[in-house]
Amino acid sequence: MKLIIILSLFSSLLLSQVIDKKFILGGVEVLKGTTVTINIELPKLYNTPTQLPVRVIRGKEDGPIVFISAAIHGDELNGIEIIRRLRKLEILENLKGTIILVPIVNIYGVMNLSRYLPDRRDLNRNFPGSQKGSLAARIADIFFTEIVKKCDLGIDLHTASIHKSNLPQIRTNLNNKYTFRLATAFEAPLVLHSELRDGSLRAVAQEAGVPILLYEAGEALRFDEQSIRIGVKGIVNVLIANGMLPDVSNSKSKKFPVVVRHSAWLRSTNSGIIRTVKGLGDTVREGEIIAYINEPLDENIYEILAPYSGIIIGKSEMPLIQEGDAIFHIANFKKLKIADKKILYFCDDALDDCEFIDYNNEEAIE
Amino acid sequence: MPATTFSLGGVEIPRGVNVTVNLELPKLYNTPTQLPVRVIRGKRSGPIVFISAAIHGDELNGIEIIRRFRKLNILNKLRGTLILVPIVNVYGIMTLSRYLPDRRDLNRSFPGSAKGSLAGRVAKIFFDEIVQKCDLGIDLHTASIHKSNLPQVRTNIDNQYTFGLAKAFGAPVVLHSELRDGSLRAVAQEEGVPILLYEAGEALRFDETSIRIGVQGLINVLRANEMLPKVLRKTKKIPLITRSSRWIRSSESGMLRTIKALGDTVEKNEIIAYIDEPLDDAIYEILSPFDGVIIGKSEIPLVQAGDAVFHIAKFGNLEVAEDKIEHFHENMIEESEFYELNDEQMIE
Repeated sequence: MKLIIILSLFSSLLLSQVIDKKFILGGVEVLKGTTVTINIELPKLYNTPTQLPVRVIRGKEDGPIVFISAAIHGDELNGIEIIRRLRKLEILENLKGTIILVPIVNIYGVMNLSRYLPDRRDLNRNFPGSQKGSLAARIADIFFTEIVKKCDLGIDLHTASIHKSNLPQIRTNLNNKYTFRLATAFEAPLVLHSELRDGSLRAVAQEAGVPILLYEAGEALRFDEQSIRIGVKGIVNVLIANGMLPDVSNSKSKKFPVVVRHSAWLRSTNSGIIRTVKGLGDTVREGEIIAYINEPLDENIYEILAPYSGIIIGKSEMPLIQEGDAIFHIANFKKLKIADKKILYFCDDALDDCEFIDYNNEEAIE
Repeated sequence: MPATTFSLGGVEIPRGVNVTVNLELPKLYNTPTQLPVRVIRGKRSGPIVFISAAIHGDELNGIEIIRRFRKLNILNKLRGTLILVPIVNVYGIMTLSRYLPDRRDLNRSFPGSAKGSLAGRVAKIFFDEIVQKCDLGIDLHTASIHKSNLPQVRTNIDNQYTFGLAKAFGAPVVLHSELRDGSLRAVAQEEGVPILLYEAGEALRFDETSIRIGVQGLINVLRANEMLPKVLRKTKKIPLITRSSRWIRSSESGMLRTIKALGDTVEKNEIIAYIDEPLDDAIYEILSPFDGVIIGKSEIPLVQAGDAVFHIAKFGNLEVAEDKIEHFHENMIEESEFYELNDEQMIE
């Protein structure tokens, strides 16, 4: 009898040791129930020491490991503020599992207000990277090995590229049931099916068994209050859906975002000065005028028409345009009334008071 | 006695005629480059006024202001001559840059010289062919890159003539502004050509309100200058006039959250922005150093110690300020008096 008890005690100890795996990042062990900032050494920028600051929040209870990253493109900044607001939420005290926050992946790019690294490469085309490759490859390798590979899920925060803006949207593989469920749980107004790109974090992580949700919202080099709010709430929603936070949002019947399989960037047929007359989230009918292009002293005006009915989910913000430049990103969606309603619902809701008291202290960014 | 003949770029322009003249500029490497200029000559004689935009190649609102302005039917009743130059810095536009390809600022290179730098040569052509022939100039600007301005007219408010026109423009704010060496305004003034400077909106962006206030403002100035027929208007309000303003600079580097917007009034020591580090809990507050109105602000969330964050115009009576800014702003978004402008769809 005693022997059995001792044996079972021993085995439960063994078992708990298996589950109770050590979590080590950048050579630092992070204990359950603790929050630490770890600075991972990166190659120096010429003679300036450079580090990658990472926050690890380990819950008291076990659960999945999730990373949340921003500014993999150094000029896409909304995610930095999303992470700052997220990490202050008291609800994280109830976390099951571990979250790894990386507010600025491309430290070098932020210094130059640039998407790229100093070697002119795009970090998000250089995964998984290598220790002996280019600067971009070395950083990709450090981020991938130290962080991504240790995770069960990643949420990567983006904005549109320079001089463009995006309606808040989640991009993922709609054919993967798990990521599709989390994508709709996020509650951005729109979920867009998106194919993988060679060398991108999403493609390479997926191959390594780490599914990624991509949140795209707002403009490069700008903060957008609505994109930030939808982002903070969205991450909490995903962590709830993933069983890592208690479900506190059972009050309302939930609406389903607009789900879109096809979208395309509409490109300009002329060079000149552009006036866009439709905004983000507007629905457009096939053949409707969405922009005008003209020369400053010329009376000729070229009209840009919507090639199909749908929703404007991305647009150029700059009045100068060259032939071939992308102007509007239009999601192919026929039920325009439904689209109008859903977009209004998700966007308005985001600017209402938040369910987290600690969050309502945040003053809106103007 | 105004001349009956008027010529520009070697082209003679009779009264009552509207022509586009292309002035030759130095080639951009091997690409031919021209300065397109529209001359609108009224049937009756009167002052000669130039309206220029994009002297800094990334300040674009003025291009659209001039496009809308030149379509107005009221110009059929023009007395005198208008010279429209929608893009002075043709080179800067090509590279989305404030500067010329020689990295010089055109607006610090006046009056220029035929044998000087590229900037000096372009300044010389613009100054000789256009500015020197005029009685008045209106130069259209926006804030510099990653900043935005509340619509405002800058001029010397000690000069009664330009002060009167600046008020007539009808922008919410008139700001006294000293001359800068080598600027168009300074050099033109020395030559007896007073300049009004309209500053509104953000570099590399169109802003509908700034454009509307600008178009109406040009008409208002031409009316006050007796070049267009006047209209009887309701009691006119006078814009906010301020002698003193200051750019508030950041004391720290980091991420910037501005919580006040253009046109907001702020009290002394009120928090107007926060600066923090992504993973640090220390937050720095930026306070307003005096009572006033925000007339310029940074739009980019990254800031370094010493960067300009807010441009605040000193103004003691904040209630009056709020009232005036609201009046001048809201009036503009309503329908214009020109039906042809109401065809213009709002830029989104």
